[in-house]
Amino acid sequence: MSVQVSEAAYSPISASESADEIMRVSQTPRQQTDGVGLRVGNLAEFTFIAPVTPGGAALFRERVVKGQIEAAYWEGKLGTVQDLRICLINNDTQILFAATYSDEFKPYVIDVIKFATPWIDYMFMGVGEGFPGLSSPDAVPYLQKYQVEANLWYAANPDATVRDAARAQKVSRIFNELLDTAQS
Amino acid sequence: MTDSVLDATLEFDDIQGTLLRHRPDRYFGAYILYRIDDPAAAKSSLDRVLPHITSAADWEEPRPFTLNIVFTFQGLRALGLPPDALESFPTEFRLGMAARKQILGDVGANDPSNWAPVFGSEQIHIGVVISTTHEDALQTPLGLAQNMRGVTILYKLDVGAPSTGREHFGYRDSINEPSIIGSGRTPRPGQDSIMPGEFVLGYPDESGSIRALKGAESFTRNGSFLAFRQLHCDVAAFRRFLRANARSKDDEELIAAKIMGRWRSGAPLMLAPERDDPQLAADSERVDNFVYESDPRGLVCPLGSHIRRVNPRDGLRDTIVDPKIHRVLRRGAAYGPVLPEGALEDDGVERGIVFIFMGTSLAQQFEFVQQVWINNGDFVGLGREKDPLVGSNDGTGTYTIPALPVRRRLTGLPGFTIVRGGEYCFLPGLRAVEWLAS
Repeated sequence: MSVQVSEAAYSPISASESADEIMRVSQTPRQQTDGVGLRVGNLAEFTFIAPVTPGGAALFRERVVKGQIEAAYWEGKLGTVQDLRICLINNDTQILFAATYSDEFKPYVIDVIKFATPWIDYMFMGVGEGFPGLSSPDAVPYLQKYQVEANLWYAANPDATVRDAARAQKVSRIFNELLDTAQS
Repeated sequence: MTDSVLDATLEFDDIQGTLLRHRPDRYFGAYILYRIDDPAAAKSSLDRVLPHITSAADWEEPRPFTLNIVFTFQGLRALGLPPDALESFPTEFRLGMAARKQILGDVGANDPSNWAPVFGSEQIHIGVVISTTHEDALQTPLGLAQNMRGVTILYKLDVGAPSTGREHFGYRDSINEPSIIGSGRTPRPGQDSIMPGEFVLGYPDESGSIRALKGAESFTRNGSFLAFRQLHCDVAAFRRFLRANARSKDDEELIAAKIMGRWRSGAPLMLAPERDDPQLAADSERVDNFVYESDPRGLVCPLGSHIRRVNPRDGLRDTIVDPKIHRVLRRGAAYGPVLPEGALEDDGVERGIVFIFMGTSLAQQFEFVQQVWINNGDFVGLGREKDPLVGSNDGTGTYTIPALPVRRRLTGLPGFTIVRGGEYCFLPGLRAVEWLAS
């Protein structure tokens, strides 16, 4: 879906902004290598909107308390998810699941399913209409059915994966400790 | 599930031999690719070849040659597999290897537009793999293969163990491979035991479910998918790179070992960290018996070394990835003459290696290994670093060798291998070949 615009032809939304400056930092996301979703650099977006069962919204609100408490554990173990949001939308008739992650989606899907089934199933069983459970053979077709591609997506530092960011923070901390020691 | 239970159920006499059995160390052989011109005549030829196809039964018995046969998606269609059965085959197989170039990292010099013209053309329908231990024994199987009617031979590649007994870069090859539960073989120390459904359709896989293609269960039973890949080896570039980056002759060998994860003899760095140990390399009980638990930072065996990428063993314990569902069976065979020892300039002669990778999911096994482990480094915190030996490097890559007090980093990594072509195939059971021939 990405729009390629030549620098010379571009006319900015705001006449007070320079076309050169905008085009210098402009990102051109491409489609994920194998499936739906956009990708820029080492990052990709996953957006999913599924119908909610009657009564499912109340069930979800009850379960999401534990879901939130455990989110950092499960997503942290995955090691590739940069951010994730799950929202009930459209008067509780649909649920939105949107994530930014590094790596490709498809190669890891079986590993993710094997690992994250308890957490995802806890939140979605009986909530997502037709959700078969993550370990079901119908799980991937279900995800594909309701996955949508972002029309616009931006990611800062697109070349830095979650692991790169963690490593950079660690190096920065060690370097600052070194400088602190040298200074004292 | 115990080995003895599965021993009774793996149908060795229906499974093609190359799937379960290793080729000998000394070998001669050929890979032949065909286009079907006349399906009826091709079926008759298949019928004549059928009795000569080698099954996995009685593999240890002496035999003059082995012959195995594979079919591409186009080939199965040309031979009349019904549309609903064809539809049950996975997308990647239907599309073929060239169409998966972004996933496989086949860009730049490796782009399918640079492959031998026959590859990626949808013209390849059938492939035959022949192997012998004596060159003169090739005559009979080659006669069978070359006299097939209703087909045109599009490509033929002669292979044979190099005179050095090692692959072209100088390493001893084919040391590690998974042990298939139910294959009737006792795993060697260090070999990982994997459920048969990961490699043979119709059997339980690592999840405990029977791995099968819905809608084509009967035709695909005892079959597997196979990725055929021909790689040119730029041996001179490899030698120059070692020379340019080494501090001494011994250091050249150390860098070569750090790139592979094994010394050229085959001795693994994890068991021989300082210097080569040919005695260890020759000991089949020890040569593959190691894990990475004691080396989480890769100080002994670099995290990005070839063997640690293609089979991370216990090295991904802190991640969600289960290496057992991403294992492939690999059969390699070298072609072309050895570059004379010490030569640092290419002699213009074509040489390389043909790999066949087998498993019941091209996407989950071959493509995963290629995409996530070979052509990326993020899975072990190495950013965009690729496999130093077979990754799609282009002269801009780096290779990190962890060391104390500071790591060593090799830069300007060129591509030492260049893809000459490849295709996705299906290796059916013998009853399925019989059906195709009927």
